[in-house]
Amino acid sequence: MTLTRRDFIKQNAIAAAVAAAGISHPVSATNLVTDISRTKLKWAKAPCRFCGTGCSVNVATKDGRIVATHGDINSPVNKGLNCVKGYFLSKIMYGKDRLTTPLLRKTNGKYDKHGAFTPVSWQEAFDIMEQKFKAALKDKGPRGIGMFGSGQWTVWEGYAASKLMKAGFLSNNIDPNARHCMASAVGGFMRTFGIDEPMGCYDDFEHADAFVLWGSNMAEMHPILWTRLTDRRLSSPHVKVAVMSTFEHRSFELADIPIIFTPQTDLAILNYIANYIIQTNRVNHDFVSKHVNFRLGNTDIGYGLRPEHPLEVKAKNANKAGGSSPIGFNEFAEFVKQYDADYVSELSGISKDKLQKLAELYADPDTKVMSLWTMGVNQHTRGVWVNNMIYNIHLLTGKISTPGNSPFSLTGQPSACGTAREVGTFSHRLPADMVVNNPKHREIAEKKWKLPHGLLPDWVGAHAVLQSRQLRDGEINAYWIQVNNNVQAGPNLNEETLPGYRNPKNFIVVSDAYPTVTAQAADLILPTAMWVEKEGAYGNAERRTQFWQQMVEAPGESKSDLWQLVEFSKRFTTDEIWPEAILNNHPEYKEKTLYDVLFANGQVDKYPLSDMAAGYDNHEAKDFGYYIQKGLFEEYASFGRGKAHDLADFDSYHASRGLRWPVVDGKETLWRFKEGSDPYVTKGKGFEFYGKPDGKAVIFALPYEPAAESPDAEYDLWLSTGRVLEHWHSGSMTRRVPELHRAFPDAVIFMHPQDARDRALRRGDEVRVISRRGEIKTRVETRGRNKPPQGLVFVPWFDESQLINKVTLDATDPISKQTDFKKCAVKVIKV
Amino acid sequence: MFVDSEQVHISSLVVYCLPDLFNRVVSDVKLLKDVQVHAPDPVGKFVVLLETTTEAGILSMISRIDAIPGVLNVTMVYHEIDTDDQESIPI
Repeated sequence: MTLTRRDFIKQNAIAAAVAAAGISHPVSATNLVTDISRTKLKWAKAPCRFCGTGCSVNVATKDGRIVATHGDINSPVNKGLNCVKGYFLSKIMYGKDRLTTPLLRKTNGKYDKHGAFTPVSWQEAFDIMEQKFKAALKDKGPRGIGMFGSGQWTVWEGYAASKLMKAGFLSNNIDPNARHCMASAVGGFMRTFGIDEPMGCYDDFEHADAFVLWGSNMAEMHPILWTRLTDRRLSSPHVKVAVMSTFEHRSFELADIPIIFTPQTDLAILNYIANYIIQTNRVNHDFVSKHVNFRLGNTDIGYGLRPEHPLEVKAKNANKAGGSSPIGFNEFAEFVKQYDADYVSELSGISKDKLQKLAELYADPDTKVMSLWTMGVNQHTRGVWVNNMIYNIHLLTGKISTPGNSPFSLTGQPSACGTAREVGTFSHRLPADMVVNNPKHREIAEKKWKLPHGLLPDWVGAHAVLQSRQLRDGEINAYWIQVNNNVQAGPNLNEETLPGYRNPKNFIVVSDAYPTVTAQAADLILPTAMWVEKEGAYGNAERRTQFWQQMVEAPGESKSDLWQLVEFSKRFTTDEIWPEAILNNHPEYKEKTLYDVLFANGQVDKYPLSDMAAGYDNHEAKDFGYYIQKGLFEEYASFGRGKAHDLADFDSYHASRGLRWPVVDGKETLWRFKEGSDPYVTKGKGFEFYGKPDGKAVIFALPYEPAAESPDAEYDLWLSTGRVLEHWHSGSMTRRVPELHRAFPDAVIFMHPQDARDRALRRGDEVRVISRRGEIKTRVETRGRNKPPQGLVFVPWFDESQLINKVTLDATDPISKQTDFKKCAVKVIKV
Repeated sequence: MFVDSEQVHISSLVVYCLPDLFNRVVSDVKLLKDVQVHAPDPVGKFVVLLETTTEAGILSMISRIDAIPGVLNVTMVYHEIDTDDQESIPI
């Protein structure tokens, strides 16, 4: 029988899938997506542009355009698999309304806040921007300007932005949108371990005997990791999966222990488990006595609302939210004793039987357990507490830092870890977990950056929600947003976000590839190169740093965020911004541009263009005349080397599918804090939580406290917002892929059929979703992928025609300042 | 990205399902048009070969398989675009 070309393709397709599924032996790595002209395609690797999983994809270019992407079979993360969003990556850059030129609001040829967007040159765009930033700096000093960035910045973009703001403009008013996403996770890590990011890694998926999802719908939000978890569950029948949420979603289909709980009661459930472990005598006392301290956390800490809000006025410890005092094991045991099965079952709505099954996964010394969580835990007015309390139950049992025993915080953005957290783009942070209000940390940064002593500002800048409030109040007057869509993403947009953008005192600049809701609310839009239109680096949820090359040209006059930041720095001199006393003491810095002192500093500009890989363009390097990405990376990496944040040298990342830090002597680290797998653990200690001075992690005694807003007689339903498989966050990219748009075109309100009947509603009816702050119109969905219990509704936030954040509340965790998007009170009325 | 109307899209998926419903899921998938099932593994996974005329057709098939009771996860692996006139070329 003759084998036709079509047969051959089919056999390839089957073989590749069989290999990826682990059903038979792997085929050799090839370019798996092809067309008849495959010989003309050029392939290169890149991490996916979307979630924090960090799948590696192979990207094909043809005639200067991305034409295909597929899962990279050589990637240890996704092993050749790809989710639908990842599959359509090749189309995200080619939306019809891609921005190609700077746009300034003008009337009669002049800037006017109420004018129409008019194409301008980069020169004119930067002229007006310079004028507005200088005016704000003159009027209010460094606190009068602000920047809002992202966990989608590449590593060097976040680094350049943070350096420009903190060391150039001397303003800590810079925050990433990771504040909405990961801030509570960071708070949890720092409080419990004194060092950020998970101790485990994705290899834990193949070792665990039990998985517990604490407020995460991995099936839709982290599909490839969900595939790994599914594969483990199916191939090892003893494995148990517990899925916990305030509503039923796709991940419940795999659940052996499905648990729906009343919003906010996760706090009580976690204390119940701690109590259960203690009462059934399954505490790992050897581990606890050697490696753990106990502390009692401050309670009644408020809800991060404006200080005059009655809830803040009433809160006893609103200003000491992160405080705690030492206690012992016995006091901790006494503290959690009240969280018995009767009390917690009543509070949470979970049967005692299920509570016990759940607790047993942690208590049983022979069960290796992996806890996984994202926004259900982090977007929580007690998000740091919940993170701390998950660590509590892993520490009580010593189930940590070994294969399969893994409290694992998942991330939402491709570089929430690599950029937002590790680089330190938060308003209180510096690189390598250092903070701005620690004089020793500032001194280290000043030395690394070759800047005068005493230059860096010591005040904690405005975080995301506070930036919105300060814009509204006219305290921040010049504001630059890059790589995010905060008008759509931020909470309570009618009352807090949008008024600040349109405040006549303010000048708002948005760098984006598309005219998002945020861009349209701005005064100046800068067109931005995205993803493989520039050289980049991301760091994923398992501490894996991955690089990619520039593969295509950005359209029109688009420029990368890096180019924009560095180029803009040339327009300011030290004399305009830095204190006179410092310049008098260090005259060598006088009359220099910020570009001179921050970027052309002998470090960032150290690597010649000849260091670049052949066959790839690099716009920024060519424009500035040196390999700027390498210079920025190496300067940045010097902060973490020797400090348990070691990154490998720049070139090794282009040659690998990423490496998990700390990378010591060329070797990545899979499990931190465990002797034998982490080179930073002192020999003979077994475990060492070296982020804390005494090497001990902290178990926190923390109570259940109610949500900021709960349903009442008038606003009688809980509202939770969230995401769907087909769209990534605000949909600014995925909604421009026709196939993805068609698959889930409009947001809907998922509600229980009885809640619908009680309001005389039928599936498909148009309704108003109303809170005390605002309302939207949407349509009722009583079937489909999400099945809320009675009393709760779920609305996705990707749809810019239905801005659900008009409805949400800007209550935040008082410690992490992260918004709780999962709990507020609404009513639903037929239109 | 490709605009040729003569295109045939050949793709493969890995489908994960509940082992208890394995036979049922496999037979439901087999009922779909232009779909072949390969390498069935009763632990709860199998490979699906798709032949569609558009890319959107792949996505809609993924959605249809995803909606079958017992299906846990559908993941794309391979995609190749062929043209009709190439079909019977021997190699």
